[in-house]
Amino acid sequence: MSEVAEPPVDDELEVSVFGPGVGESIVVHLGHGDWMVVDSCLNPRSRQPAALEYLATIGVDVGRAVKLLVLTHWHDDHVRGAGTILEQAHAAQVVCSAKDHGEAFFQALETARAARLPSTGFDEMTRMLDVLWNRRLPHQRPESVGPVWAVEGRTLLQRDGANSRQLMRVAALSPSDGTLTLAMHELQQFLPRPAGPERRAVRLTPNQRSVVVFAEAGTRAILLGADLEETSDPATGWNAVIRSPVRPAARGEVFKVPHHGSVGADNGAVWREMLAEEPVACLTPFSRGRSPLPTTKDLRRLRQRTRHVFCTRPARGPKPHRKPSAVERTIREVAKRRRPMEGPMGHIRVRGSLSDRLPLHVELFGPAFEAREDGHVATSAKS
Amino acid sequence: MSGADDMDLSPSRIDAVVAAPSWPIVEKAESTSSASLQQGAEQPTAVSQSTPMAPKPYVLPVPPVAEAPYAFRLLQQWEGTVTELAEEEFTAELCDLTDPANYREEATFDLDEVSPDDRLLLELGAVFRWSIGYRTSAAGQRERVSQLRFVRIPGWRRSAVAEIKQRAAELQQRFPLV
Repeated sequence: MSEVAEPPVDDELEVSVFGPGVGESIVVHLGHGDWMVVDSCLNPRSRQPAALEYLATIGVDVGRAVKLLVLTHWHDDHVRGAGTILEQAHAAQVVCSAKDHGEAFFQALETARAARLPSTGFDEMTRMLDVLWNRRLPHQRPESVGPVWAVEGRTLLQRDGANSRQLMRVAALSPSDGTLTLAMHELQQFLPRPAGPERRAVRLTPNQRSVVVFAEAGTRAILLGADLEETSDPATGWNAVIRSPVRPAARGEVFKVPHHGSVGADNGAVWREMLAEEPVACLTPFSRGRSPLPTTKDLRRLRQRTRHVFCTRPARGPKPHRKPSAVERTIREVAKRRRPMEGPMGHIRVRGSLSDRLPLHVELFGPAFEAREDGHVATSAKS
Repeated sequence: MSGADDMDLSPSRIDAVVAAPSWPIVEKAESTSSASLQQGAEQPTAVSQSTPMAPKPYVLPVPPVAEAPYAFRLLQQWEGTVTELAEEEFTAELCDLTDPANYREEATFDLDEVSPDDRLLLELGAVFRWSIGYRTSAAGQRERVSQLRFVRIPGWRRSAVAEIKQRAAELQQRFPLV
């Protein structure tokens, strides 16, 4: 196992997945010094963005090297700390889901700005829009300032080169047009009304808005599944990605498994038609609610898809920090259930040359583990 | 809520009404109690005049209830955000305010743990403080107590809602869909 501080070489793909329990962030080296960050979470110990801490550890100049910051959707487990990243990533284009647009969305953003209660996801979005506004060019028309709105088939970043090893293209595969048509209804319930109470906008149900990212660099391709779930509607979810006429022909060797490995996000056609044989599947847990993800059954199902399944940490975190006995007694009397939502952050790092198709090299840090065939922990990280 | 929607329940409006209590108050008007309880720390209660001349209810603050003096020693406090609501229980995300370095937790409570006057505040996204400590009465009796208190912030003013809509429209113009 190499040191975590060792940076990739110029001609090397890296996919680093971070997950503390609730939240995830993915850092990708697309070769030749170009980096991409997909979603953001905080290191629960330092409360700093995991992506920034890691890039600083391996000596990457965030201001120049990060070319793309993709926010797959505004759920708070995917955007915490994103404003801080954008403030430092001066060269980065920020990509948001085109579904995160419309009257209700902007009213929700402004509500977060006006609210006296600190909010979560919307605060970060507001902060990022402010950074973009302040970053506009001299004489730039105000109407032309903004993030890149991701929609199915849109190219987000590309690099040309003298040979195929230098080529790189990052594209969004979702949200689909069908999803956009369904947009905005769910936000209505959190919009303010006269004399109504102030509330935080908490997680809402659909994840169909998520931006799925497909990246090709040199000889490699990766598929980052965000939280996109399966639906019965062929115009939304993974069905729409599979059916898309602009879906790339290349097959991903690294797959960020969507929605924490839940069965609702699993689509056999994705594995058959969009991924290479035995891809490296990486996932993060979601340790909130009565049924944390992934379950043992989820890991077992994923292991039937590929032999290489890695998770940043177990879905059930460590026991909550023990309080003084009087407090513990009271907690037992008052709370019906008490669960940890986060713990030490795990890190999966996948690297491979952009010049050949030799096997990828996987490293695990913190509580990250490899899943066994029966869904249990096979290999834990040593550091 | 239509009646409440039509009223400006800002603190200044409440003060103005309280300043002119020139007729007797005989009964509570339940129809407006919901909006009033969500109002804020003053917990104004809506009352109406008994004579047919009274055109609409008036809002008065409830005088503070006199409690026996006691000392409270706080042992532990969290800030909670309601993330799930069910028929008999609710679930909340908890941030440790006593030691912010601790990891976030999640807990599920019976609705019975919430004081009746806080029930109206119990909604998805509502914020509360959970405090555990020792309360010692003036007579020296000590008891261990747990208290869930929902944050009371004055409701949105009509002007604030209008301003949010205006700013949102401006923001949307700044960031048009490309």
